[in-house]
Amino acid sequence: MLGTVRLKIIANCTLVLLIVGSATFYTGLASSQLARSVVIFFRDNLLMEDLRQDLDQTEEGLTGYLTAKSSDSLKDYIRNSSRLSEHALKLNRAIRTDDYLLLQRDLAGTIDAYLEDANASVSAKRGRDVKGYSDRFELSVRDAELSRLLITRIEGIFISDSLKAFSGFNARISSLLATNAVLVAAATFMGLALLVAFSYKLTRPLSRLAEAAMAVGRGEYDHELPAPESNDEIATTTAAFSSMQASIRQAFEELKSKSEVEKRLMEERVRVLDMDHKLKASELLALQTQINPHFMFNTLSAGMQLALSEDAERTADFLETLAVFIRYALQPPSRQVEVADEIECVERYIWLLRLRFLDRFKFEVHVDEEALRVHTPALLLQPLVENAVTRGLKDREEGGTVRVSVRLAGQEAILTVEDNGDGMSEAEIQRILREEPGQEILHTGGIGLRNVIRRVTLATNGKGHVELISHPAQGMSVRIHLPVGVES
Amino acid sequence: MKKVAWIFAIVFGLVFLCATLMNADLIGRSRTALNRNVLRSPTRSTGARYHLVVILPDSNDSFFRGLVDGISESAPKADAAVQVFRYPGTSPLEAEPYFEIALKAKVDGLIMFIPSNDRVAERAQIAARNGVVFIPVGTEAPPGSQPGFIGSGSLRQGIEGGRRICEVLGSAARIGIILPATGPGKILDEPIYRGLAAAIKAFPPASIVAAERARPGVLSGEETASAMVRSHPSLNALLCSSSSDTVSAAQVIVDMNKVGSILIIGADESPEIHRYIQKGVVKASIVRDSIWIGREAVSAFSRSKENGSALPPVEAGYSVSSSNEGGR
Repeated sequence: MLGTVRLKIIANCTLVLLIVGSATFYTGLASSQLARSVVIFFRDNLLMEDLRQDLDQTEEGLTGYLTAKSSDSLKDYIRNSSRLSEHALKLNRAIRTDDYLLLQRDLAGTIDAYLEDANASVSAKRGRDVKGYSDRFELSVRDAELSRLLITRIEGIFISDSLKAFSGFNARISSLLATNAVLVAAATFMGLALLVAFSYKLTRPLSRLAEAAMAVGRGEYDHELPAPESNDEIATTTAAFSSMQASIRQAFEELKSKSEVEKRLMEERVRVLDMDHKLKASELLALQTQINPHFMFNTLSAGMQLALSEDAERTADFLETLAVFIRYALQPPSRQVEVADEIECVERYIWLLRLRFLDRFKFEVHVDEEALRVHTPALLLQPLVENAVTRGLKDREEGGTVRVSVRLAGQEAILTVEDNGDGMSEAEIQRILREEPGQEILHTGGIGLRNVIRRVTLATNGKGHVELISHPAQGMSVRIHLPVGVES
Repeated sequence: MKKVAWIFAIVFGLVFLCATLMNADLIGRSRTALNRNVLRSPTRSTGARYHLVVILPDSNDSFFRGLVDGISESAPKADAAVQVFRYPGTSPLEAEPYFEIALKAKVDGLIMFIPSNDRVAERAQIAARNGVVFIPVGTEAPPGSQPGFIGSGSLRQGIEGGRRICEVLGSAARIGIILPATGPGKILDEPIYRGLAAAIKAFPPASIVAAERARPGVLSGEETASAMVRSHPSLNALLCSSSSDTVSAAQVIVDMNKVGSILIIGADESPEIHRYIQKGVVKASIVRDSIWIGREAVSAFSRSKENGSALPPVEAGYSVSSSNEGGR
C-alpha cells in the first residue's frame, strides 16, 4: 500500500486541506475567543443591571408589605430578596488590589446590610414593633441608596474601562480582519502552490513515460527512460515499459541477425547454384568437346597408323602422345586420379610443348616416390603448366623455366607448379581468390587457374586449398595443398 | 513551473506564518486590553489581607496627590488593598455616603481627610463600633480630635509664611492670605491665619490686609487672588495655603505685571511652582509633607490592627522650597 499513487494523492490533498483547514480553524477559534471576550465584557455589567433591578423590586416588595402587610407583597419581597442575595453572591468578596473588585466587595457589603435591615424590618413588622420596623426600614432605604450609588460608580468605572478597552480593541480590529484575510488567502495560495508542485512531482514520470511511448511509436527504440524515483504504480509501469522496450529492441536485433544469416545463406545458395550452373556448363562443354575429341582421337590414331606406314616415326610418336593426352584430358575432370597419372599427363603435355617451343623453355619435374599413390582431382597440374607457359613465360624468348614438384608434408600432399616468368600482381591474385564473376581466367582448350582452385575446394570439401605466391618480374608459384586420403 | 510552484508555496507559507503570528499577537493584545480594563477576575489580581478605604476631597492639589502617593506606597508593606473614594471638595457632606459604605462593607481601615470643622470624634466612635480602624488625616486637627490624627500643622505653616514675608518686607508687609476652601467657617479660627498673625506681630505695623477663602474649583484661586490685589492696592505679599492657589496667585501677579512688587509665599510642591520659584515670581513655598502623612497613616493603621493602640495626634512638619534654600 505504501508508495502507491493513490496514497500520494490522498496524502497531498490531506496536507493541502490541513493547511487551509488550520487557517479556517484558527480564524474560527480566534473569532470565538473574541466573541467570548465580548460576552465576558458585558457579563459584569449585566450583573449590575440585575442587582439594580433586584434591589428595586425587593424594596418595592418590602415597602408594599410594610405599608399593606399583604402576603403577596411579602412573597414578592422574599422572592426578590432571594434573587438579590443570589446575585450578590456573584460579587467579589475577596480583598484584591483592584479598585473595581473592591467596589464589588463594598457593594456586597451594602447589599448584605440592606438585606439584614430589610429582614429585620419585616420581622419587626410581624412582631408589631412599629418603631423597630420603621427604624430598620429607614436603614434599609439608606443601604439601598448606598448600593445604588456603588452600582452607579461600578457602572461608571465599567463604562470608562469599557471605552478604554473598546478603544484598544477597536484599534486592532481592522488589522485583525486584514491579517485574517491575508491568513486565509495565504493558506489557500500556499495549498494551491503545493498542489501544483505535488502534481508535477506525481505526473513527471507519466510525462516521461508518454514521451518514451511516443518515441517508440516513431521507431526510436533506444529512447532512454530515467530510473524511477519512487516505488509506486508509475514506477512499476515505467519498469514494465523499459522491459518491453528492451524486449522489442532484442527482438529486432534477433530479426536483423536472422535476416543477415538468411541473406548470407541466400547468397551462398546463389553462389552454389551459380557454381553448379557453371559446372554443368563446363560438363556440357566437356561433353560437347568429347564428341569431337573421339572423332579427333580416332583420327589421330589413324594418322599415327599412316605415319608408321610411311616410316615417319617421330610424327607417329607425336600423334600417339597427343592422342593419349587428349584421351586423358577429355575424361570427366571431377574424377579422382593418382598423382602418378597427373605426372604422366603433365610429362606428355611437356613433351608436346617441347616439340612446339624446342628449347625456349626448360621443364623440371620432381616427384617424391611416396606421393605417387596419393589421390588427386584430375587435371590439376596440366592447366597450371599451361598457365605458366602461356601467361607467365609468354614474353620470355629464352631462359624460361617451369618446375613441377609433388611432395608429402605431414598429412597433406603439396603439388607445386612454379615459373620464373612475369608473375601476377597482388590485385590479380585477389581477384582470382575472390572469384569475382565474369573474371574467370580461362585458357584456350584448358581449364583455368580459377577452375583449379574451385575444383580443389569442392573436391576436398574445403579441407584443401591453393596457395598463390607471386613475385612480380621474378616468377610465380602455385601450390596445391591436398589432404592425404581425401576422396571426392 | 514546478520550481515556481515550490517558490510560491514557500513564499505563501511564510506569509501564512507571519499572518498567523500577527493575528495571534493582535488577538492577544486585544484580549489583554480587555482583561486589563474590563475582564477582571479576583483570581488574577493580587490579594491583600486588609481592605483600606481612603476618603478625600476630589482636588488636584499636590497635598492630596502626595497623601495618596504616601498611602499607596506604604499599603503593600501593610498587606492592604487601598480603595480611594473622592468626593467633591465643595461639599464635605458628599463624603458621608463613602464613610457609610466603608462601614457597611466592613472594611478593615478607613483613612479620611478631615476638614478642620468636621465631627471627627463622632466618626471615630462610629467606626470603632463597626470594627473599623479610623485614621483621620488633614491639615489641622479639629477641636476635640480623637487620638491618631495625623496633620500637616497649618499653624506652623502660617508662622513660617509670616516669617518669610517679614524677612523681606519687614514692617512694610501688607499681606493677603488665601485660605483653604474647606475650613471651620471663621477665617480668624484658621490655624494658618493664626500662625501668620502671630509671626508678623514682631514686625509692626506689618499687617494682614486681606484674607479670603478660596472657592472650590480650578480657577477659584485666580479669582480670589485677582480680587484681593485689585481691592487692596497696598498689598505687597500673598500667602497661599495650597499648591493650586499658589499657581493661581503667581499667574495673576504675572498677568497684572506685579512681579517684584508683590511677594508670594506658596504652599506645597509642583513643577509649576518650581518654575515660578526659579523665575522669582514665587519667593518660597512651604511644603507640607503629605507623602509622609500618607505613609504615617498606613503605619498607624498597621499598629492599630496589631495592638489596638491609638497614638496621639502628630504633625508632619514642613520644608521650604525656594531658589536658594530648602530644609525642614
